[in-house]
Amino acid sequence: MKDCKSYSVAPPLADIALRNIWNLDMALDVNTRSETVELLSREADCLKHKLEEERKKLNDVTLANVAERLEEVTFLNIKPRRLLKGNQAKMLCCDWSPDKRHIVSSSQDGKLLIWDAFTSAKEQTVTMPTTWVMACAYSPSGNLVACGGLDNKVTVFNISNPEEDPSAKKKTVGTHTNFMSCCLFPNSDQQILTGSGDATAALWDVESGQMLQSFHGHTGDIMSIDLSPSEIGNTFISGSCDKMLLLWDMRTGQSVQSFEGHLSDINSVKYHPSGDAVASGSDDSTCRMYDLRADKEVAVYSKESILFGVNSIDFSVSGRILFGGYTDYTINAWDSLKCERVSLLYGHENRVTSIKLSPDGTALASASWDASLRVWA
Amino acid sequence: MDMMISNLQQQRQITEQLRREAAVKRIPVSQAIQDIIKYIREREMEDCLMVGFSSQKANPFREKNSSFCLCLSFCLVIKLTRIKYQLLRYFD
Repeated sequence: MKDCKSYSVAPPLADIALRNIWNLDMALDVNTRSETVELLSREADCLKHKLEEERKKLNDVTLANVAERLEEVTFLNIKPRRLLKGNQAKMLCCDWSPDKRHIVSSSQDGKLLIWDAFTSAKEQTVTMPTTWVMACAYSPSGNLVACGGLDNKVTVFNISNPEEDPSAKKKTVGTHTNFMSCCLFPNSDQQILTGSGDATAALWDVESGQMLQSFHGHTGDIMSIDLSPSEIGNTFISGSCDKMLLLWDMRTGQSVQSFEGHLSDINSVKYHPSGDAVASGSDDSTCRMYDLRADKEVAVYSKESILFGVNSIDFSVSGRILFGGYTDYTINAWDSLKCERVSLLYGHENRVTSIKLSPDGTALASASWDASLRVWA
Repeated sequence: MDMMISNLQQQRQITEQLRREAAVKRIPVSQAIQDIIKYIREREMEDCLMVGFSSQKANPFREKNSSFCLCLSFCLVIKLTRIKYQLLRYFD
């Protein structure tokens, strides 16, 4: 009985004491915290101002001015060489095999097709249990293809044996909370990097399906990612519907640099082959180039007559020519230095959704809503 | 309370991002552009889509029957010139 009484008294006392301490602590905490919010936002404003000043100070010339004295890119002899006719469905993405001969394409009806670009023949077909497969990519060995889309997942197929049905060896590697818009294998067959409509990017381990790193920072759907071409390859760039480009460190998961300038959704991002600059294509019908070391936009590729959005971009091997696939059915070739259009590749009968340079730079593949792929060389 | 904390976290993220960006070393735009131009100029000659192929044989996507076409057009040209000469002779 005594025990019970002491017990009945003790807890409330202890409780009150605890609660007091907790309250005090919370009060203090809130106090210091509300101050910190203010302090932090003041510091943020200061930093923004400082960044602006510094960028302005280093902005001593414009690319178009410096490039004026260079000779012009005169006569681009790029012709349509192959027409790969698919089913009726809109083509959404394409990628070259490292063998420079095969192309994988994904389409709105959930079909993944493997093409021989030399003969224009369809070699393998994989049917996905979803529609709108928005992304597909070859692995560096050429044995695996990754794809995904409205199913929010990234799925890997082994296509190394043409006799075997690839869907028999299917593996779901990662899942996002919204559609998956882009994917690539960074440097090896063991990992996949994905970008998603849930505003995050993620690095996955192919074997275990584990998420190795996630990348938070965007406030809109990520539409495109690209890996740095440098040997170390530990950084990548992402473009999003929040009109921002972010440069990420893959090891820490933090964004290192950010670039703004576009007036609408960014649909495509691509590293310059030198690795020191990145380009982007947007729904605002412009492409832009940003230098990483100057930390600034250095070029805008636009024309009054171009009114429709850019869906996909890629550089030629030297980086002199920037190709853009547009919603107005065309592919524009820009002189990346003089910021002028040098050629217009016309052939598709609907929106061009994806363009990719072949690994050796001899050809350009394009995918379109007209249900076909074209190879230009 | 939760909102305050999430606000704080958000603000902290924004500021930390800006701190990282402020710490980035920058070079003048002129220097960056020079480097880009130099990189491109060194590789322009190997850029097939820009300068074309040294010979059409090097192009893996050349028309398979291009030599056949070429033969055909040659034959056609020769035939046409013959007809032209015949016509000229006829009118003379």
